[in-house]
Amino acid sequence: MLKKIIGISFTLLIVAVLVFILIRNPKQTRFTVVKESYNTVSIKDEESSIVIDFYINKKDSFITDVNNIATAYISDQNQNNLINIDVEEFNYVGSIKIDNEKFYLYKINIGIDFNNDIELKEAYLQINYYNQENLKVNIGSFSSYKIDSFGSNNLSITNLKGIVNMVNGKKTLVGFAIKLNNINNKNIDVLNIIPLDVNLECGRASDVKNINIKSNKEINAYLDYPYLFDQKTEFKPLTINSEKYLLVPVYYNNHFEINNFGLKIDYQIGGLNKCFYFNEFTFFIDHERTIDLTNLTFYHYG
Amino acid sequence: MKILLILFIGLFANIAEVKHTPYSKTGHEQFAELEFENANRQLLVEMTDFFIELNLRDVKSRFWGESTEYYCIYEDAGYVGETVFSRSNKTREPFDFKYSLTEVDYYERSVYVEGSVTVDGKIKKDNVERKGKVEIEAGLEIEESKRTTEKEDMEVTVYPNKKISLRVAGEAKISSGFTKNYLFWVCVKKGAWETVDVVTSYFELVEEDA
Repeated sequence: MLKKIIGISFTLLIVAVLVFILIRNPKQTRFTVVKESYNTVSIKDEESSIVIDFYINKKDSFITDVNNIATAYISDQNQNNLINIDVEEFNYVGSIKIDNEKFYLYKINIGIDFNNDIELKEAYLQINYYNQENLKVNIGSFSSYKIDSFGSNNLSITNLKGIVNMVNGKKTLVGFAIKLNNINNKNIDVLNIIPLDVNLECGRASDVKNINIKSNKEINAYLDYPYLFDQKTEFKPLTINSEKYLLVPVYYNNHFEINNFGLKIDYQIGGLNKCFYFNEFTFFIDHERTIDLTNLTFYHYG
Repeated sequence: MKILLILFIGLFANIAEVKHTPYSKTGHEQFAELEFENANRQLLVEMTDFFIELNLRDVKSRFWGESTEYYCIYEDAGYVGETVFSRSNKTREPFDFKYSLTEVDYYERSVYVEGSVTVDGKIKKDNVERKGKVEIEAGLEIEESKRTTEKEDMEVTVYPNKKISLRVAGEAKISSGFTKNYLFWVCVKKGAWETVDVVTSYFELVEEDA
């Protein structure tokens, strides 16, 4: 009987101590983002937007209340380039366990009213709150392009799909198949194809005629030279009389999992240089994406 | 007493077997084609009633609850989806068409049941975090109402007398099996089921004459 009383008393004491510790030291706010390559292309004077996934260990905290935000920016590390943004909302989506701790995912909807091209290889989201606190988070990279118009009177894209291979454990868009159609009677010289993302470059295109390109097949099966994702080949100009089906390899300056971007096609017709902008296209969606915990930086607040 | 027991079981169970007629040839509305990488495997829709019955006979009986024999667990497959959208322009002016992949009928998991069992939670990957990795899509417990709130619009221009289509194909993992539900050793529900989890989706934009 005495043992039982001692046991119960001891348990109660431990519980009381734990409760006391928890009350004395409220959980510190921790948050993180997955570094991504954010890119956007839009018509001049039109607002563009991006969505940033924001993981935080407290639901409905001070940080995620947009009413507390005074100003917000996307910038490079030294703030040499800084653009004003509008944090429209922190939209709660769901919860996830990261490193055995429960985190809440908010999608930050950001409106960008900036009328020039900007490319930041390392981008930071900076939010200043009315209480003089601020947060600065490395979000990956950021590219924003402002153009006069999409499309062209001379060229059209009649087919577009990506090739995705596994590179260093990441599903990587290693190239895309594109069918370009000459709408005019005059020959068109395609001078370059440029992916609208600061981390990407296109290489030497191969004319794949009418081969059925499979999106999950090794890109080396289609190219007549070996592909390495970080060793760029030069794009060689080519002439389009009526239609051409090209396989364009994509090279990475920084290896993010990039599944969506726009295209700029520089071409020449009748001695005139022109360009054709194509809107952002989602080439693939990875439904089982994993992130190494070592790639996540946890920030503290409060 | 026996009569009471049967009445009790009848109250809690739907003894009548429900037969679900597949809507598409794969048994899953969103997949026009679905194929195992291992050619020896069959989809549920390809299994004969005799084969299903034979496998159901092998399911171990128990006093209470569910008993399952798996046919396959998370096996590789390829799929071709139904066309995501198709828009034609028969006017003289081009028009811009905005779309969002979260708004179109697009699901990451598809379930097909032959019989009366309930399947929703079967073969969900429970190890969200493994070996220092976090599975940011599959591990997320999304509030159902929040699925369509993403702001990821895309825009395509449809030129006069042209039709733009977006098609989807990709890789999936198929799990299937045979399940019986027991109450006091009495089988009250039985059936075969199949779940398809989409792993990667590849999109293809096609422009044709309208």
